[in-house]
Amino acid sequence: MRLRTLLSGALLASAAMTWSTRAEAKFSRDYNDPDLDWYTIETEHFAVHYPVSKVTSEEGNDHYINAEYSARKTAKVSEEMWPLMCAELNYFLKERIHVVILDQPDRLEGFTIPSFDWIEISANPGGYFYRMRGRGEWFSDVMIHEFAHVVSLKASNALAEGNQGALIGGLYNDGIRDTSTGVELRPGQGDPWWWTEGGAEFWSDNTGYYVWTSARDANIRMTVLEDRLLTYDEWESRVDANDWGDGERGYQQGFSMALYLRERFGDETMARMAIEYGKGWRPNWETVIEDVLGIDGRTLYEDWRKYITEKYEVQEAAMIADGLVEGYPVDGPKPWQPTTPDARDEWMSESRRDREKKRHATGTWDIEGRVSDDGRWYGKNSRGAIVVEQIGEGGLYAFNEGGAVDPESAQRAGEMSKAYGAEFMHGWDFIPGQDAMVVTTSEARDVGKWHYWTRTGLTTDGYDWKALGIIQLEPHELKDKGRDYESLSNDTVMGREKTQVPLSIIPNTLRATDPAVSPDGQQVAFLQYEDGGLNVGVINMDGSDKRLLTSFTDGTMFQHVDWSPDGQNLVVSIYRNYQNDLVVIPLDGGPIRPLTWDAAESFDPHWAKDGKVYFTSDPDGVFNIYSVDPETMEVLQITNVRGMAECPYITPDGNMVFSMYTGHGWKMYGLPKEQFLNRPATDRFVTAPDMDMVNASLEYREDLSMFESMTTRYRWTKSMMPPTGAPMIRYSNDTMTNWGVSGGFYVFLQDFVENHVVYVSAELGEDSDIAFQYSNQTFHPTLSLFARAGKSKFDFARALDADDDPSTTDDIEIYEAEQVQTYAVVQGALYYPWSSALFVGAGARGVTYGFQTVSDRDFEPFMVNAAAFGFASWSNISARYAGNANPRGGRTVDLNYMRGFTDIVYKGYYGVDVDDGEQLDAYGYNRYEGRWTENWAVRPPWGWDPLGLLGLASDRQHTLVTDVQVGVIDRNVQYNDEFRAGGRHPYFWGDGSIQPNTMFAGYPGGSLGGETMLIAALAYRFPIKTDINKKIGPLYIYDLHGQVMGTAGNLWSYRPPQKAGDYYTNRFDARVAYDPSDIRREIPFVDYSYKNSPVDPVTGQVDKNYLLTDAGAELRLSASMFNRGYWNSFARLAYGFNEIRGAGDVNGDDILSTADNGLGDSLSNETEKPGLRLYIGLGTGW
Amino acid sequence: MKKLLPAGLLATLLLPSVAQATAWEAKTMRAPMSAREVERPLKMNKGWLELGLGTDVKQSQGYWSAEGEAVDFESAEFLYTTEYLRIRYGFSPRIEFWWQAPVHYIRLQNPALGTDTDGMYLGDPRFGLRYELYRTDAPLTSVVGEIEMKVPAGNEVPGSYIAGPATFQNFVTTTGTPDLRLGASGKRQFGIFAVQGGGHFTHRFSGMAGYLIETDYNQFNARIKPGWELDADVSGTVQLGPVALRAGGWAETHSAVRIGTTSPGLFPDQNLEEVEGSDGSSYGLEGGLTLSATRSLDLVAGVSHPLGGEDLMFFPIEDLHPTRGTTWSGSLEFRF
Repeated sequence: MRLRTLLSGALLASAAMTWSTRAEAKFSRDYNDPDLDWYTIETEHFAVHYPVSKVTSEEGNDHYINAEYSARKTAKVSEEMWPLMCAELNYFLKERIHVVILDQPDRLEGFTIPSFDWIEISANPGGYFYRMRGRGEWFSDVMIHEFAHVVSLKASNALAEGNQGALIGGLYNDGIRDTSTGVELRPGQGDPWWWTEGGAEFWSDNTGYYVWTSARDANIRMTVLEDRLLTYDEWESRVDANDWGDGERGYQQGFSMALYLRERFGDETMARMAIEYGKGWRPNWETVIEDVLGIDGRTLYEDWRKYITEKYEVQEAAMIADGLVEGYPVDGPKPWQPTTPDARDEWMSESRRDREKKRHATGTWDIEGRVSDDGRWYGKNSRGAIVVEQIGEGGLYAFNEGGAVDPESAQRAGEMSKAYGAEFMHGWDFIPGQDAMVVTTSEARDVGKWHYWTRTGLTTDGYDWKALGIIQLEPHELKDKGRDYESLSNDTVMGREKTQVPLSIIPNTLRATDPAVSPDGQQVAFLQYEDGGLNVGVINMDGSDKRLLTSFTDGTMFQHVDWSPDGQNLVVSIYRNYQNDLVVIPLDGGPIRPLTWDAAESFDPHWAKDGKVYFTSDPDGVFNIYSVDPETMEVLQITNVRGMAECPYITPDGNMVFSMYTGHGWKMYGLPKEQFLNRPATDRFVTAPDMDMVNASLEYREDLSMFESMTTRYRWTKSMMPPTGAPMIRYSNDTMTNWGVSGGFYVFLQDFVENHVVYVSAELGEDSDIAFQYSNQTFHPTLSLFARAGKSKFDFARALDADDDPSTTDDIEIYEAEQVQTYAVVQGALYYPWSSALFVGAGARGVTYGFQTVSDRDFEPFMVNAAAFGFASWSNISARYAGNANPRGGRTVDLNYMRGFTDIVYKGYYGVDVDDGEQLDAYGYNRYEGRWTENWAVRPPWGWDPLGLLGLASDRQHTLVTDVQVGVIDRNVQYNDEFRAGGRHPYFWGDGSIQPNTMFAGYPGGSLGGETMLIAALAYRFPIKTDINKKIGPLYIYDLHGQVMGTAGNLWSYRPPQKAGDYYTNRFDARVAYDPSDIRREIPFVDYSYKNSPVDPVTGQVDKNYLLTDAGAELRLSASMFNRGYWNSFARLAYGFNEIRGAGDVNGDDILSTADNGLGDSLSNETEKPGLRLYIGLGTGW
Repeated sequence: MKKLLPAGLLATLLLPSVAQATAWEAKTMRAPMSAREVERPLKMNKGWLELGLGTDVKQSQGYWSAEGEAVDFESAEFLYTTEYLRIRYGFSPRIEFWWQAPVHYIRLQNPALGTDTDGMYLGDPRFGLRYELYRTDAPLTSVVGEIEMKVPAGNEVPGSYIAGPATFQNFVTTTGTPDLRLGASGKRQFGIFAVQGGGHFTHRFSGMAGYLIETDYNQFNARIKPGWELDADVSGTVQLGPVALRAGGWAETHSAVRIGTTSPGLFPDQNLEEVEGSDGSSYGLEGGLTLSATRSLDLVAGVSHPLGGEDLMFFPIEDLHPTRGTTWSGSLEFRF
């Protein structure tokens, strides 16, 4: 009789599952900041932490930062707003709130985790903020919003703040019926999106910091007029709807609703909802509405919808009566603006979804339109790319509407445009007299073509600041469809091409943005960022003679600078003291002169060659284009639109291109000069203010020196976040084993600037596991220390063959047994984010495995393993795809290397084990592993689509996924060190060799093994029903996708000696080679995989598996639960075409066969017949 | 590792407090907590975390026979102790989560046999939820529903079994099976007095048990399903300054144990057979003292003495077949 101890695959896998979160994984930043010192301003209710570079700019630090002003200003506004906001909800905080000022990146940031008592904001708001919300007092606006979250979410939190909900889940495996069913639930705080974000906006308004600005009003006005309001179901979910603008729409719809509630039910309605929800946890937040107002949520929503629809329809009617002046789409007519009944009918015959998509496809963030001085090129900033095209025959369509321009030609010119990477909403300009332009780019883009495309540019300091760059336009002569074009794109088939080069950074322009080129093409005006504020400067095109024309150090912001035609003055919009105005700054150092100085928000100034300054303003509550003559100060209204007209630019012909805000995004429009409204509007602006008042205002500096005495060096020991965690309850079960229930918790703890991070988890039960992780993020790279230990009660049965003869079955008896298996892991590793895509790491770890049987007093160690490892992981799959069932692009490449050393120490085996005919004691090995995954958006290659199916698939968002996984271990190893493969359930508590879960899903999990691995998989994904956007109780459903997939490949091992005389049999009847060199490495595909090939127990005949294949199909449901994170679910059916032999309980009946297979490996001769395997996951992801 | 578990966790949790970190500041969301035990509800108030370190010590003199007779050990001395870490957390206004991880130090001396065996083992953790059904303050009325799981993490390997049960080297500290316990408790305050009581039903699932070893090969195991259990307790408390004195009694009854082989599938205990005489009941008295040193710190002492019982001591597992003896207990409860 042969009784051998098998360590369960699940146990080994879980032991090997060490901490592998992305390195330097701070909440809003991927890099550590060893070059910074941190300081803390401690006020009565807040602690504001801010960074200062250790090395000054005078000492040569190009990336010097000092966020002292930002921190002091934040501290001041925070204390001012504290009593007002706490009073709103009658919730006066006892705990101090910590605010971390980020000044390392150049992008807008602002978030809070109220239960952590934590707010993080950027000192630099970037340009995005103003256009969406209006006005421009960054520190007070962002702080009041985040602090409103802090107070309202604390007041409404039915759960104690130390927990992140509860984690309840488990996996049931039925090996006999080949099913795996997993469930995960995470009940927790579930306030809806509209209430959370709309509430923050509302309370900011109620405390006097926000107002319902013209920008907000335009957002909702156009949303209503274009029938784009989020439905009741959509605005409940915190994971917002995915169409353009839905994120901001959710905020402003919520704000609008809150204002409606104030008007209809009283000032305290939103606060009453907070307090009601805080009384006790409920799975469905919307019942709060009925408890507070006595009407159900849907009725309230419909009431509000009716109210604002009537309001805006009345407003629209008045605008139409006044005479709309809205211009025309720059590049051709649009189908949603039909000019004939037939065209209208055709448009309306399409589904609503298709109409929405077509409107979005024409551009959603098209701003900053420009025409080159020679009239050859037209360009715009389209969501972070400068898209440039040739102006076709007869000019731009908008200026020849119904005239000389062929719409098809105009459209084709647009399609043949070229997109150059640049920063979004940070300005750009053509260089007069050259085929070139100056853009706002970032320093990391200047890394050469190879590094750009591979995203491997090394930024060792983690900085990627904005800078000004010059891009040379390289036109090509092209002939397309019988027409001649001068295009910047050399690709006439694929249409728009996006590229980065050629680009050259203008020296000395770090943190400079919004370039405007002087009329002589020799200088650039720009905005220079420092410590929460901007100044205006000029610099020569070669980076010399940099001069700042203003010297504000108090958070003053500027927007969009432009040159006067004579090159002697600059016009710019200034944001200061809660006021947005236009000013002229003479280059000779003369005094700043206001063009407007009033309550209207005026920005986007463009000084045209006709001597007038064209700009955007909202004196009557709607943003339109105006012009002001700096000499006469006469103001004229140029447009009269329903949405917002912004970013005016006068072409060499005197026409105007501008950006039109619609409910489907910003679109580029043009207005012929003949159609300028030119309505006198001087009386709506203050153009001749009292200059003493202006000068006093410009010279005013807020005294923040009182915070100096409150400032100390940051101490992490005084700045620990409140620990948070969650109780965890899990179950697991196999065919014949106990219901393995375990209970425990995890706790997460870190300091506020995230230098020290601790994670502890403990689960005790049938399977017990304790883990501890510490990460030090004070230097590059991150040091991570990890320890884990656990034990698992492994229940199984053995089939004992009395005569050891597999041909006789009537003497086989089934006995049950339990074995306690243990593991312990320690690991130290260093992680470093090489670039935005590449992530590398290296470390070392030690693992021990052991077990205790009924006859062991103590745990017996079975094997110990020590390893050094290194890896590189490259991925350009955006993080936004984390919950996306159908990412339509992106690549992941993983390379792993491990140098391992294993020692078999089990006394029962005299410290050795036999695998593949070799007696293994202590050995070292090298393990190499690689994986490549590619998501291919299906589309006609090079336009080839004879049947039209590929085009159809493209339209319907079909995706092809290819996966290749290869691995080699350079010597024969014990089977626990081999590669493993087989289907995985995502809830499987551990980590197998392979990804994704669908790979070899037709075979039992972890059943396949070997030292050589070659596996390829294909999957084809397609939407079945998208934008379902329905709420069912606490469940919100987004999309349903389908996927068909298949895998081909195998794992090969070493083969024991076959010739009698080359081996002997040991006490377990396993073959052992006399000479280890007689064992032979299997050659992929030339040899069959003996370990994964079944052997007939009677005849000894081998069913030779050269290649294993499977095929399957699955449904993927995208959803969220409790208004919280994802609750993605799936059902997967896979068929394995081969009968296999493998490791452990291959056939899944929980009975381990002990009959000898005579092959000298550690495996039984259990086999799994070809068959279907079903995986179901509810809330487990896929 | 077993000995270090509670200490390690505690050290991790307490480390920042030494540095006067903000992590342990009182938060606005925390519900008020009375400084007097008699006024405290049965459910932990929202936002409060209580860490309890305690011990129960029992020096057994014997056991109860299946007929309910008190039988003394002939020569054995059996010391059974439990040391535990207990976490109670006021999860929401109505819900408390709690979790308790025990270890046991056990010693069995038998001069007649010349044996002296001892050891420390992980016990079976328990975790559960209390849901506040009804509550008034001043005077306090607190009624909670309770659900609780016990999971078999404890040691179920008796060690060398070759020579039979008398020579076991390890003590078994688990039934090897999970329990689900449901019930309700109530507390009512009358000035400085309070009355408290409750009743529970425990469903005990079946499970493979490492201590049930077949005799042919001495390597394989059997499945056990302990019987269901009903229990009730009642006590009275009087508050004298910072000290609360409590006295009361308890009783339980349980059905018979079943043992056998596993049947595959969702219902694995269809083959199990009843162990005759393994059902029974027991009852006893208990008392205690709580000194509320501060609002955040209690010192608790207690005693529980069995008055009667009936049992079939077919295997010495305290959870199934408690030996007869008075249990003395003490704990330190720290709240923040």
